[in-house]
Amino acid sequence: MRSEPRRGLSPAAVTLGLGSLGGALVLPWVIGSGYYLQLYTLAYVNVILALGLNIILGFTGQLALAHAGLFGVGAYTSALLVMRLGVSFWLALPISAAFAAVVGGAIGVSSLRLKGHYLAIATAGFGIIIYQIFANWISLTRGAAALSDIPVPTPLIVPGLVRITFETRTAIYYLILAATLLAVFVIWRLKYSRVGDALVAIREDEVAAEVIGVNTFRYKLLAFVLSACYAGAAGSLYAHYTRIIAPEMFHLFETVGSLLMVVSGGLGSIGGVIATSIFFTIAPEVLREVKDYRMVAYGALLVVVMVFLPEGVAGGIRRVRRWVQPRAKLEASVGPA
Amino acid sequence: MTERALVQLLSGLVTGSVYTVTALGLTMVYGILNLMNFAHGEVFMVGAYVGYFLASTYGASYPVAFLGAMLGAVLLGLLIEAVGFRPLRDAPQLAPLIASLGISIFLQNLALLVWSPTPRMFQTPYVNQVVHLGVISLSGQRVLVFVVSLLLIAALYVIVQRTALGKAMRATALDAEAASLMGINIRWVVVATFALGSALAGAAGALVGPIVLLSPFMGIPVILKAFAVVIMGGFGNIQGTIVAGFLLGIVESLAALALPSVYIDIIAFVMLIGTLLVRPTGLFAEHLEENV
Amino acid sequence: MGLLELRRVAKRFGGLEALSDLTLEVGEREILGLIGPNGAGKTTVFNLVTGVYPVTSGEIRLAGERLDGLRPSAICARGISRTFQKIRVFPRLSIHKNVVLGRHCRTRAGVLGGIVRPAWVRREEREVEARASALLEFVGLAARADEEARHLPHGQQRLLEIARALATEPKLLLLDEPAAGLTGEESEALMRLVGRIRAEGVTVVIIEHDMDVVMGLSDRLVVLDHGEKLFDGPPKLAQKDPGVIAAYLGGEAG
Repeated sequence: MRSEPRRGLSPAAVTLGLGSLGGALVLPWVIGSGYYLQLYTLAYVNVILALGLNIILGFTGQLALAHAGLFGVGAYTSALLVMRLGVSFWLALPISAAFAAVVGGAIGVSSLRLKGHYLAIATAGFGIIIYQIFANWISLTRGAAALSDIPVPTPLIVPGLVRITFETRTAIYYLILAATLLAVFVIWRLKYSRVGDALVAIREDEVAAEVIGVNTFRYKLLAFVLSACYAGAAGSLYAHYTRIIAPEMFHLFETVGSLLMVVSGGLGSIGGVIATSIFFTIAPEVLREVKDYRMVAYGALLVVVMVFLPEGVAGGIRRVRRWVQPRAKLEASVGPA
Repeated sequence: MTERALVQLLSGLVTGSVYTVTALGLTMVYGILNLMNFAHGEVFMVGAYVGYFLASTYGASYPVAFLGAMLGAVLLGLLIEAVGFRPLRDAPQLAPLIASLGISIFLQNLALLVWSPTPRMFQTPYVNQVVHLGVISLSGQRVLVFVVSLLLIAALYVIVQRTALGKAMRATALDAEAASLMGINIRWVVVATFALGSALAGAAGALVGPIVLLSPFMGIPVILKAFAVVIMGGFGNIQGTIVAGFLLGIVESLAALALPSVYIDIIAFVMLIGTLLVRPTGLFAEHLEENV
Repeated sequence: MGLLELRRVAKRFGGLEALSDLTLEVGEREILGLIGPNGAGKTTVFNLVTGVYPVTSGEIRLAGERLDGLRPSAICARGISRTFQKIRVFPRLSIHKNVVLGRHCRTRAGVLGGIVRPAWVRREEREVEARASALLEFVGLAARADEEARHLPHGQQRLLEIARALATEPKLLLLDEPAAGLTGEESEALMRLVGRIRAEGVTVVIIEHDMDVVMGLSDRLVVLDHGEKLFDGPPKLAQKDPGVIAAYLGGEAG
């Protein structure tokens, strides 16, 4: 007797999802191609980034803080491949994601035997080292002087059929939207798969998971590599979208932004994290006057969410639904036969 | 050359003593709660600023400013415990970790807003004093830092080993359940531990403030190094922390002879990773106590 | 040669010797009762066999092959499963999902399979779902499949843990104080369940303090005290053995 919607596809979720997709598709028509479209584009990059963090933190329960550094690895790798080696963006993107995944794997192998605070500190330290490399390897990255004039993605040409250039903001918007949809699809599939179940088991009780047959080290490493892959891909998209990158964009602090998005969306939730990622990208910009207070607010919000709403927006919605529509009382349990 | 090395060695002892004091505050809380307080670095920072304001704006003498810094740090520490750790004592371990990270970010940026990013110079009469030890000269402030740190470490040792409170703390760190069954009020032990740990951090801040420039983010390298010291010394292990703290200070200072300053901060981290790889505290070792 | 063999196994924690020179065998399809006073080392035996702790010295073999040194997940794949003294279900996952996770070591779908979902993956998932439902029926929890495990009453969480352990298709099932906290009625139902488990071909080792349960179920009894084996033989004889009587016999029930 199963009453939970299979694979997260309750009628409400499907409606909300399709509605949001429709809205996203027509957005450029509605708000034009100015500042706000750019904001949404950036929001989608943050969605990919946050979903990546969700894999290691939300599903697997490991507080890994190297995320912004891996984001930067993707960004710099992609920009440099295109600018210094003339590689096409369409090749640079997967290579950057893969390279970030490799770096993530290296960090993971060193740090993932540690739990909790040890892991957080070790990964934070790696994140700082990566940042220092960006800032100090001037000949490669130009350091704080920033790497600018990064080319837009090379035109997508299917001979005889289609030729898409990415000179306009609208074109980039759709490109990043498409990438985001792919990212969402993959993590959705992952969540309801055997791998996703294993990751969640590790979060719920690592010892029990190991004893019933889940190789916890292997799966934690897998989650870390996947999350790094997401971060790297987001980085590549980001670099060719903003066209200028500097080390300060990939500082440990930026990980806090992703952290807040995941935590407030709901650890392990997909829809919730998408919503909060968009919200926390747009809100600070819209409330321009309070921009200075952004980090103060983030810090405070992390505490507030942890204390009052630890299961995030998604958890809050679940609680409200249960309160509004309590499940029909089951008969007293059937005892063992 | 050897003169330089000697100066660096002494300088290393000074920095080592500060690392030790800060790390001790951190390791005490870990011993009791099994949790790392990310916001410890900000308690250090606030200690430095409180000391600075008392001395410069209110013209307090350095000893008064120092004590005021410790007091301010204690108050802040208690607030952090009440807001970030107490409500989450039954939550999964991830929650207080994230909360303390949030508090850390909050305090850093609040300080940024309130006190502005302009680096401040904490003046004390000792900064410009020079102390001569044979052929070596050190600033008076550094000597003071070393001496006061040793006093603080000694005081902490006495409290932990010789007083009733210390006994209660050690008992709680060993086995909180058993301790409470024997009538120890765990709540008070937690509060007292936070207070002591924060006092140490604030003291360290007020000591180091005059040597470095104050900034809202000065706590960050401190917390990372304190973590490194705690991990190297063995979580909750006071003697180990003392050794590790001084060791780190000396290694850093000697390395400064050879390496550009950018890389100095990384040393702590490299030592940390090295320790973790050689003596990993993996999953099952930690869970030993749980399963049995 | 038995299914499970411990040969001169010793375990030391720092200065404390939890087990010294323990040799013991478990025969196929046997129900072995493992009893002894608190601190005798019983759970340590389970932890060593399942790989949670490494042995200090000695060998552990399953069907002749050495187990010591393997990770717990690898040992589970070899066919040993367990429940814990302090129940360790996955609290926020549904009952159904808890049991599904037990099938993990018997299934293969990886990341690519999970994303692409070819036919074989979908078939595997269907089989897992069917098995999980069957197991829930077997232990009697089918009615509450979608509830979060943490909301189950204590006795049913135990059943869930057992169902999850059975999902791994073990040759050997280790039950650590399964009757703890159960009512008399629940204990009897548990005994019947263990009987049915053995009938399915699973070998069982059970640590228990409830003497009614242990005496009623065990084909053979091993008594441990202070890390040493005091007795190894039929339950009835244990009650008369002077060594056992001297050390400890009895718990809550006489």
